[in-house]
Amino acid sequence: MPKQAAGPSGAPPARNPCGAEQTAVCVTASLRSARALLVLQLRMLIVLVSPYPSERDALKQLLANEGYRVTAVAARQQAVELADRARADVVIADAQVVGLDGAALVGELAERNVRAQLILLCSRATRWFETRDFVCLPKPVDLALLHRHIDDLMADRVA
Amino acid sequence: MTELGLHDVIDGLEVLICGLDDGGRIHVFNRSCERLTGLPRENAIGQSWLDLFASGGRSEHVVSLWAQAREDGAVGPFEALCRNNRSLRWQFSRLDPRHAPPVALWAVGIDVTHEREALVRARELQRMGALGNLVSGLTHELRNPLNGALLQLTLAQRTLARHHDVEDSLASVDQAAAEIRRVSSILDDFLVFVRPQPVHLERTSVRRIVTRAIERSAFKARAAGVTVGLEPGSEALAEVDASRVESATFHLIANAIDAAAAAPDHIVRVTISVAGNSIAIEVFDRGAGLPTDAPIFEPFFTTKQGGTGLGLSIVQRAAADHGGVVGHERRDGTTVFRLELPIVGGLTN
Repeated sequence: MPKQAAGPSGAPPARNPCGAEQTAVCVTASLRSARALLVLQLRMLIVLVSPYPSERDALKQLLANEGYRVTAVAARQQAVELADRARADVVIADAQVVGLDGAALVGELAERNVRAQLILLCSRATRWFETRDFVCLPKPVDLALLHRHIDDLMADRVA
Repeated sequence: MTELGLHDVIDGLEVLICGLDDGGRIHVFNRSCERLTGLPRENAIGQSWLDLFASGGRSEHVVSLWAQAREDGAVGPFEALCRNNRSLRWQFSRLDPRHAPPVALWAVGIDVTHEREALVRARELQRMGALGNLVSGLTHELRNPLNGALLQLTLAQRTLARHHDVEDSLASVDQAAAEIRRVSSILDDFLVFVRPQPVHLERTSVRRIVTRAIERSAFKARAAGVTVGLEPGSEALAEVDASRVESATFHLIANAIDAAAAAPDHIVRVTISVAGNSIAIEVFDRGAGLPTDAPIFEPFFTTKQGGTGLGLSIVQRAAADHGGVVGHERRDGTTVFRLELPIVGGLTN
């Protein structure tokens, strides 16, 4: 996935996966408008890992209502095994269980050759930012922003 | 050395030198003293040294040191606050009056105002750092349950929205969710306020920063029924800390939304202008305006019910850290807040 420069909360910067700006914008826009279809076609699997039952249950339900396949677990090891076994596309992890830098989880996923994209939910961040390995969203989670990031990940996979 | 030669040397020194008689009246007053006090030598001669240099607090302590110097010959160093609020560090040295009559005591001082201010700033930073750690930990602990609660409420909102005759329940859930967002926003403000933030300057589009701030305020604007518009213009590139300027702009817009909600037009207008080496972000609303002389940039001062009074302090700090300024005025029934930043070479903390 081509990574963008870190930016504050709000819309993620426009991606340019095809190299030609106009074409990329059109393709991305089309993909976004057809998100529901893509979700069904790709059957994207999201593994959600959070130690907080309230957060875990509600987010699982909200994402499931959007059409995503979601499996929720409480511990990192469970998440890694599940992501490996089910070939997860996205892992949404509470920073509490993976550490603020996400390095341990990134390393464990890489060891198992799992190409899932990582989104961290972080209570210490005040704005969203992106690194080479993950996107970090501040709590309370802005669901629109979360959906946009998932959409971008989907767009990148298709492109 | 002749008396004339001695006075030339004294005048050429950067330190403050006063020659005093036994009664504490000034007989020698060098150029450094003139520069610091703004008082010409001829006006200072004959004045009481204590009145001129030690009238700003702790004067009783200085009087006792003065008495001690007359007995013991040398006292100091000690600090005293001058009439013009400069902090001065002095030393008294007694001299046999026969050597330079009528001078019996020399007061030699240096201006330590900047040193004192730096010390106060360092202590303040240390205090704020400790407070920042505390608030950071507290914020972290609170955000987790807040996030869970907000997600649960969102789920309830969406479930209720599919049913009829539940408007009241839905409104209650909406209100609860809005309150949680407000608590979260207060926590953010406290965190930003108490934690000293370094400035990371990068050349970036101020228009993009302002656009993001407007997007960030969209929820608040919608809830208040206010339209926020950015007037068209260039990208306006500048070397700024995008995150700090976005946060500052967001606070200005959020305040304007609160004011515009009670205004007839429900409109907040934002402009970006460039002049010389400065770039200005202006936020306009036609609300009631601010009370005259209200200390609006003081932390915890607020005119709004439920406000933390930290927003404008955060804006002012962001402006100062960039070497810029923030100000406000009332123009023809419109309140204008102006955040002015240098385009290149802003100061960093």
